[in-house]
Amino acid sequence: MERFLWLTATACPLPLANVDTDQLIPARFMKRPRSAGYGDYLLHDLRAPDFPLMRPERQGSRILVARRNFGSGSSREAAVYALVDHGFRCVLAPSFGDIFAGNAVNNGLVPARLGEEEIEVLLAWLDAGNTTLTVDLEAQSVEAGGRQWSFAIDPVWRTKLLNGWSDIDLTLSHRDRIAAFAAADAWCRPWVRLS
Amino acid sequence: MPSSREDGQSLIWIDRHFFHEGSHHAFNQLRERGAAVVYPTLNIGVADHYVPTRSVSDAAAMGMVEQLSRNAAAHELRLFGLSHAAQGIVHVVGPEQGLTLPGLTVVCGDSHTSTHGAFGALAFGIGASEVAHVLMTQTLWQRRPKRLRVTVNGRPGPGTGAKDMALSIIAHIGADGAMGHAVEYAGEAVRDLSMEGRLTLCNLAIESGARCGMVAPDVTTLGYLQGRPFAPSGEAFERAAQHWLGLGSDADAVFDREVLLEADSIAPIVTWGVSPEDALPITATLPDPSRVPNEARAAQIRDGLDYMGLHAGQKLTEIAVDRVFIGSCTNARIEDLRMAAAVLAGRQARVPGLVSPGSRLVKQQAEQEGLDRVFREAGLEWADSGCSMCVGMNGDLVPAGERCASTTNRNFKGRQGPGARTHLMSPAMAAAAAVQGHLADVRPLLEGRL
Ligand code: SF4
Repeated sequence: MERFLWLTATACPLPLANVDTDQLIPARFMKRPRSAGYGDYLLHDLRAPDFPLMRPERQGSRILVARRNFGSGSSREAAVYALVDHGFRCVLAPSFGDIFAGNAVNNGLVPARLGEEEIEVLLAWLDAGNTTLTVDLEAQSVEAGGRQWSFAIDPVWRTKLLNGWSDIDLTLSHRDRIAAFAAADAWCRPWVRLS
Repeated sequence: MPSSREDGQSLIWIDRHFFHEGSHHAFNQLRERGAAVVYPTLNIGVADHYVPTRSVSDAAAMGMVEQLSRNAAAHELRLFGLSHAAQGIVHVVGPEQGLTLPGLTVVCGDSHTSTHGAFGALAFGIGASEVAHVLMTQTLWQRRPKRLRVTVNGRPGPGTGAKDMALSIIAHIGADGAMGHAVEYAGEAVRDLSMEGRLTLCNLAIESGARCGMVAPDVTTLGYLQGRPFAPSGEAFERAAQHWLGLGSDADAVFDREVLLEADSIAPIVTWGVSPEDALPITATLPDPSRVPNEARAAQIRDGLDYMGLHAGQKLTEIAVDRVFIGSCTNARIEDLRMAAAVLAGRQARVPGLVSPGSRLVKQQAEQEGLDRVFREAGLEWADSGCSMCVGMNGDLVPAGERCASTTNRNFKGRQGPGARTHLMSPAMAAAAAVQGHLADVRPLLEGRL
């Protein structure tokens, strides 16, 4: 997984609440394998000509700014694939769908939480034609036009993102402990076993 | 718990992992690593999202079902596939088969895995990377969630039930109101619910932002589990039951947050917008964004009204519908079908509609009770079991611009098809909408019928 330290990049405003995973990637595009790429389908059905993602000044955006409950809905990791394959590395919003946020971290996408008021200020600032933001994960800060805010993120997720770690290798190093647990547990709760 | 870390993360053992057609990304990850499934019996496949429910067959969707069979076969995993007599929606099949039991950790690459919490299981949805992690290790790293108790006191009035309770809770706390929390549902109205009702309630926990919802196991739970194919039997059941009844929260348990609702104040509920939190009693009128001071909320209302083709101040009961859908893991169990049939018996639907039972066993039972005849005679289509029009992956779609009264769980933009407009409600309310041709209060239609 690619590490994330800090990023100065074009940001795209998405002044919508409850942007669910069905909107991020409509169900009909989910049959393809990951290697085929999901970027072209990001927010596919919202793409009117004046949609922020389509505007010339937002091309090449790597940071997305949205309202509350971003990524709510289904567990489809394809919603994260669509964002990442489109080039996004960070989403700023007041709150995130829980499964979405976990999926994001597992793909090197930073789900950074800013207060509702700060998000409104950022959205207005972007709406006024400004484009470039800096997100610093180490310092947990966002900088825009000389102003700075600090954002919240689960400390474990932050560490994973800063180091580019994925869980699986760590877990596999616990293999023996897992097997011992499974054997002991099968005695205490025999009904768990299936043949 | 095989291990825990200083940072508060614990490695938890997974007792049941259900997978479906959508889990293909995870199986691909295994293939890339050349990894095996370490505890094959605990990983169970179910074909539901892409299965055909009518004679129409979609080649690409069938390809997804076949891919699931290949993945299950490659790792020798149990599969409730198209040729299995007990196939159905994963969150219906798990409980029905006794695969879901109290106290188990249950995961699936599907957000409505919260459903299984109805048994007092710790059940939550996961993404593809986590599915791969479970297949390879039978564990997941998790942080202990905060705890929220939702207590519903009293008794709901006739014609209102678990779906109305669930939508009321979401409207009350918001679609992200329970974020970061595990929810325990408690109180007299919850205790009084059948297992079917509890499954509906926990199914919708995710729509309030909670990752999991739970009801403490009790005699209702045990009664449901007795005799299920994969539940323990005889003496083993008695031993397990003793353990299960001890799983409930202590009387003096402390919660991080408490929410209280009175059941008798809950009326039949429908959603009007594009988030499940946009829910109102059927007797209400639509909100006016120009009277809402919070700009973000006003924008959300405008956007919802606009997408749904509605206007501020409109009465809910004046909204005409184009079709109805009775199905999904929220509301396609036998009791749901009985409620809808109670409304439809001897009446005609004014709009077309589709009824898709939650599993083949539910379908069989409904046919034994003659419910299929009620639906057919009312003019609705009696289909096979699957996710069907809940998500439209199998080709069962609501056409663009059409309005559907639906017993499902998500009224998101485009959820039932590009441009489709969804109103969520209970099976009884969907049946009432079918009979009246518009959103309608089911209560008068149920008089003398319950
Ligand atoms: S019925 Fe709908 S919500 Fe339930 S598992 Fe299928 S697609 Fe998901």
